Formats: sequence, C-alpha cells, structure tokens
Amino acid sequence: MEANTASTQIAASSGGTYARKSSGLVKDFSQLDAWIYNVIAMNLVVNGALTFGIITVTYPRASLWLAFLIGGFFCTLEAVVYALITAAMPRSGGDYVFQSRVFGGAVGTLFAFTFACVAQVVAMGINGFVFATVIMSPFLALLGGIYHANWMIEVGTWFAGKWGIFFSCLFCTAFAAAINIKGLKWYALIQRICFWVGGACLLVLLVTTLFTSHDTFVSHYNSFMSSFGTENAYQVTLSSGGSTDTSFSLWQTLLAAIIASYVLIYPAWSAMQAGEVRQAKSVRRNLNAMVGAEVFTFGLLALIAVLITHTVGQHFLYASGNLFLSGAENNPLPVPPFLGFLFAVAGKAAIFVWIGFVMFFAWGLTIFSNGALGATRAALVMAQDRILPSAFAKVNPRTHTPVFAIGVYTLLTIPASIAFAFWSNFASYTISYFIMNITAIGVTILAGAVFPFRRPLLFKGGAADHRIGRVPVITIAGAIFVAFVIFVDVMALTHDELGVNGSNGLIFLGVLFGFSALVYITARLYRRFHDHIDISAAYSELPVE
Amino acid sequence: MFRKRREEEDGSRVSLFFATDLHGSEVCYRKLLSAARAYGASILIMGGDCTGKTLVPIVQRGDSWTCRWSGEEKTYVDSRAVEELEKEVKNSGSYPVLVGEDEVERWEREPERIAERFSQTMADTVGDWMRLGAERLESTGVRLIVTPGNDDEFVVDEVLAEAPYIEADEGKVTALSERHQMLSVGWSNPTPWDTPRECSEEELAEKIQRLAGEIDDMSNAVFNIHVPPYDSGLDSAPELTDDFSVRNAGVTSVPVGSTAVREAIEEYQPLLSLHGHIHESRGAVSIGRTLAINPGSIYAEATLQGAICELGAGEVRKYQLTAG
Repeated sequence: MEANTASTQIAASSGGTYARKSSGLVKDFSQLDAWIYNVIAMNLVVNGALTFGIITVTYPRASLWLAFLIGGFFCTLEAVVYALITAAMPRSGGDYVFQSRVFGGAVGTLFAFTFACVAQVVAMGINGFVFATVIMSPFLALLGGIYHANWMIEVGTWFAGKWGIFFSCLFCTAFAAAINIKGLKWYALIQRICFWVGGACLLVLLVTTLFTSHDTFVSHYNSFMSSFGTENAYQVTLSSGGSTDTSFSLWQTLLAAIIASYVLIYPAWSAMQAGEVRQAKSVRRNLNAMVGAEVFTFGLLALIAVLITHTVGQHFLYASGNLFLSGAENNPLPVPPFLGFLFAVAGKAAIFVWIGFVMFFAWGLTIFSNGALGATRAALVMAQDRILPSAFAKVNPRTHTPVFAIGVYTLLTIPASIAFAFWSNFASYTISYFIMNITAIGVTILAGAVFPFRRPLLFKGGAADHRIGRVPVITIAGAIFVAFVIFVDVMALTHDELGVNGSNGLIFLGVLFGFSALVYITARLYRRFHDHIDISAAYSELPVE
Repeated sequence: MFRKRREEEDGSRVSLFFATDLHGSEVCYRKLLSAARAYGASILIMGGDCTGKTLVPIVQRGDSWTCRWSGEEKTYVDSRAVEELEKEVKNSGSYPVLVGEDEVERWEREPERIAERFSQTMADTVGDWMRLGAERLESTGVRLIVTPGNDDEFVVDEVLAEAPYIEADEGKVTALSERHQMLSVGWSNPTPWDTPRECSEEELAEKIQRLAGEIDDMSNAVFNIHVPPYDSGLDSAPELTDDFSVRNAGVTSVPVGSTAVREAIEEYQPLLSLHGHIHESRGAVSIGRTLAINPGSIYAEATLQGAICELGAGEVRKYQLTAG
C-alpha cells in the first residue's frame, strides 16, 4: 500500500537514527538530582559518623581508610550491576521488580519485599533513635555546656531518654508521611536544600580539620572539655578507655570493610523511585548517578578517615568509643565520640558546633522520608502484581499520592517506635538489620548476574549488553559482589561482634523473612481460590509466536 | 470448567487480553499472538500506538554494513549478523532499513524523503503484522481487535481496513459477546508533542458520546479509549519543564489524562474501561462501578505488559495485570 506521508514529521535525528514526532520524547532528567538522591541514601554524614566509631572499637587494628576503600570497591561493582539492570528494566519498585522478573514473585517477595517494605518499618525506628541520640541529644548537650544553658542540657538529656526517643520516632514518621502525602515536589525541594546546606557545613568542617594538627586538636579538646568540668580530658580519655594494639591488621581491615559496606550498599536508591524515567535506560547516565555517588561517598569517607585518624588519633577513637559503650559514668565526654563532635571540637568555637548541628540535622532530615518513599513504590508494584491488596496501588485524587500505602506504613512504624523507645533490648534485635539489607541486595545483584541467561531476549542487544570478551560485564561484576555478600554473611554468622551470631539477631531475621513468606503464600492461595487468578502470570514470560 | 464454557457460549462470559502501546516492537506483537493460548483468552485487543518512533538506517558500504545502534557505531561484514541486528532493532520497537550510501546522502539533502520512508515502513510493518496475526489466529477462532492511538498516523487505519481477519474497530462499537459491547476511541487530548491523532477535550467528549449512544447496555459495556481518565492514577507522567526536560529526576509526576474521558466514565459507568498512552502509569483503579485499567508498556524491553479480564453478566469476574 502506498503510504500517506503528509503527517509524518521528523522530530529529531540523533546519532544516525531518525525519530518522528511522537509522545514521550523528553529530554534528560538532571543527573545531579539522581546523584544527590543516591549520595543522600548512603548518607556519609549520619551513617558514616556511626560507622567510624563502631569500626574503631570493634576492630582497633583495622585501617579505617583502607576499610572504606575495600568496601567501596565491592559496592562500586554493585553499583555497576544496578546501573546495567536498571537500564534494562527501568521500573519503579527497583529491587522487587529486578528479583521477581528474573527469579519470580516468591524470591521477590521474600527478599526485596522484606528489604524495601518490611524492614523500612523498622528503619523508621532506627531513624528516630539516631535522630534522638546522635543529633539532638549530643548537640544540645554541647551547646548547653558552651552557653551554660541548663535547659539545653536538660532537653538534650530528655532526647536521650525513652520519651525523647519515642518523640523522635514520631517526628521522623510524621515528617516522612507529610512529605510523601504532600507530594514529591516538596520532597525533592527539601532534599536538594538539605543536601547543599549540609554539604556546605561538611566542607567547612573538613577544611577546618584539615588545617588542625594533632597537638592543636588535643589543646582545643582539653580547653573545650574544661567548660564541662574535666581537665586534661584527652589524656584522661586515653588512660580510662584502655589501651589496645592499633598496629595494622589486614584481616581486621577486611572485617572492618563489612561494617564500612553497611553505609555503602545504597548507591542505587534512585532506581527505586526514578526508574520510570525514559533516560534511566541510559547506562552512562545510570553509571554517573549510581557509580558516581558510590565513588564520591567512599572516597570522601576514606579521606575523612585519614583526616580523623591523623588529627584525633586512632587510640583516642578506640578509648573514647570504649568508654561510651561501657557506660556514661565512665566517660569524661558529655556525648558519644561521634564524627560531628570531633569535627566541631577541631574548630574551638561555638560556631563550629552549630555548623556540625546544622550538617547533621540537614542530612538526617533527608533520609527519614527515603524509606517510606521506596517502601510505597515497591508496595504499589506488588499490588499491581496482586500480591498485596489493590488498595496499596490506589492514588488519592486530591494529593496524587498513594495515601493508603503511606497510611499503613505510618501506622506500622508506631509499634516499631514504641519498641525502640521503651524496650531497652529491642535495638539488639535490629543489629542484623544491615545483614538482612546486604543479603537482599545480594539477591538483586545475583539476579543481575544471571539476567543475561535467564532473560536472554531482554538482555541481548539491549542496554545492559556490555561484555568483556564474551562474558557480560553485569555477570562479572555481579559474581564478585555476590561473593563479597557470601563472605559478609558467613562472617556475620560466625563473629559475635558483627551482630547476627546471636539468638536476637537470628530471631529478628526469622521474623522479617517469615512475615514476607507468609504474605506471599497467603496472596498466592487467596488469589487462586478466591479470585481464581494465578499470580505468576504477572511475571511469567510469554512465548514468542 | 463446563460452566465457564456454557457461559461463554451463551454470551454471559468473555475472556479477553488487552495490551497497548507496542510501538513497533515485533517481539511484543508475537507475544501478543501467543497470549490467547497462554492466558486462555478468546479475544485479543491491541490498543493504540502500534507504530514505532525511530528509523534505524543500516548503510551498505561495499561488502559491509554500518549502523549506529545502542549508542555505538558498528560495522558488519556478515549478512547473517545484519539479519540478527535487524531482529534486535525490530524487537526494540525501531524500524531497521537497509539503505545505500547514496540514499542516506539524499536524505540529508531532502529530509522529506526520510518522512516518506518512515511512513512507508510503518505501513508495511503493520501490514505484515496483520497478515501474521490472521495466519496464526484464524484457525483458532481467537479474535484480534486492533485500534490505533494518538501516535499512529492515519495510514495505519488504511492498512488495518484492508487486513484479513483482523477487526479494525477505531471509532466503532463492537460486539465482544452477545451481552458485551465495546466502543473504541484512539484519539487523545493535546500532548506537548503535537502527535497525529489529537483533539480538544470537547471534541474527544463528542467522539465518546456519539459511540456511547450506540451501546445497548452500559452495565455490560467496555470502553477502549487510548488516553486514560484524568487524575485517575493511570495517567501519571514525569513532570516536564517547558523545554521537555524531566523535573526532579522523575521523582515528581503530574496527571496528564483526559477530563473528557474521566467525565464519560463517571457519567456512563461502563463495566470496564481499557486505556494506554501513559506507559509508566500501569495500574487498575475503580471509578464508581467501572474498573479502569492501564496495563502500561515496556515494549523496548521486549516484554509485553497486558491485562487479562474475564467479564461476566454485569461484572468483571477477574482481572490480572501481566508482564510476559
């Protein structure tokens, strides 16, 4: 048939191909935005601050900076796999989609649902706990000491108590719910502002620390602590905190890399929420946003490790951490020896404490809503697959957001908040939270590694089809990261200090995974016998006629 | 099982599979043809936007061929490798065209020739698809209903009208069973891209209203309207700036559906309403008693998204979104 050419209009010609005018031909999203989301998800300020202390106390012979480089190396490979698989399947719902489309809904529910939805309920409790004990309480105590303002010290003390933690959990939950219901415009705006404000503060503190010698730091520290009634606090900390061998150990550094990786395994959080954008099909853009965020985060953490070890001293980090963990009565410090405090002291002026406070507050605020956002996106896709009730996919006509899903998530976080605040032993159950996350991510990366063989039609010639020799890059990178995850899991199960090698950690993992398994089995049976639907049709590949 | 067959025979039950926005993906079309058997559907409905968006020239230079594909310029010396490449391009929803260097040079001088070739290729491909569909389905009794969308040029209607066996139902009311009827409208409200089949909301309302008047029993009616209802959750697209850049890394979305479609669904309350157009807004929602579905589209990933629906007397007995 002779074609009617009257209406064909060529809208663009790019790289030797010709595109006609048609819907959806949009330009790029800002790579900077996607990069910011991923940097914020890893959050080198809040998560990094905790990690420094944990590593130093747990593995005093580990090289801090090398631990971050080793962890960063493996997590960069993880980011490469995410960049490639996101380009192949740019879907909202991230990990759940990748796992279910490669391994089926049972695996997707057991691991990705546990990671992206169930664990995020617990994560909100952790957020509140961190907000109270790492941000509000120590900074208010420091500022109260500086300004001799008892009310600030009292409020800081209150934050560290049960009701302060509970209030913080509720604050984080309410903030996340409000942002997610109000609409993502606000989320994006607040995140961007917080990133730049917090980043500027971080830069100031880094530069200040860079120009502070060890002797100057000791002098500033002793001077600062004298306002809290402790003379020669640096020396007192060293002598009270105990001595330890801090000579380099490669094995301890490898184990420390496991703890470092707890911060570094989220370079692709944007895949969860920006997956629908057409440009997510571009491997180059994904590499910039995901690998770029990873390299930036672990590079900066390694740099901070060098700075802090040089300026503060590894023995001091160990001793002060030890004192903090053994109880406040033994500790000359008014607050935990976390990064913000040490940075702030390096400057020897109240302004630096304020800068540290703003930095932690800004970067802390931005991660509260991340979990809720990712959880509701994954729940939406699972509702479309008929695994979760369809109400989870409903979008409120007034706010254009999944209000039901956000509401359920918010309600579920309340018991988790109560547990964190009033059940003193609850935090010990959640130590294996990180092991669960890295294991679930490991399953996603395994899905990426076998993706070329399980979905050859989708892989071959597609965006993810990059090879070294004849072997797909995604398989090579994925296999190495999965080997690292196996190492992490084995070490976690055999080393008490990593948290899972205890009944509490195992109970926690069992409850979360058990709940997810129950959800899948219930959905499968209900849909089969009540709705007469086989939910595997949601992801089973059709034959090609 | 016997009850289901009896109900299908007496017209009170019908199983259909709906997929949309295939955008030229050969593999998705072939999967659509196999969906009837895989999902047990007696009617296949291919919603609008069946044509591709990109033409990929494979330029012959002496004994070799060069092509820019997946961001890389590649040279092929083996004709079998070129066939493989053509298959890859077709599966992704683009149109491969084998051309000589002289033709490419002429395209540079006379861009209208690209448009001509594009349109011809689209028409030829749709024609080939329809012949394949007839060949595979005629003996099975499975019906294939095809309707164009806003991205499909009007030449597609001409091809469909001449296709054997296939039912081209744009702008018509079709009997799905003795009890169930379906109206089809492939037009959309205005888009930023000025596509071939766009009209104002008022005109769209008129088109729907005219066809709705031909429906005998709205409680058993199906609307097959390419554009989804406004603010339904089936019409969320990434928010764009004035120059078509995506805002906020795609985190923020806005409703872009049709108010006319929404009002028509609210007024007539059909049993089922099938939509496409917004690929990323996959979902199923209730608007009053109407179940509205947009199965979305990920055609470039060689994956066919669709919806299996089983209609009974005045009810959607079951539905399932699929990605196969």
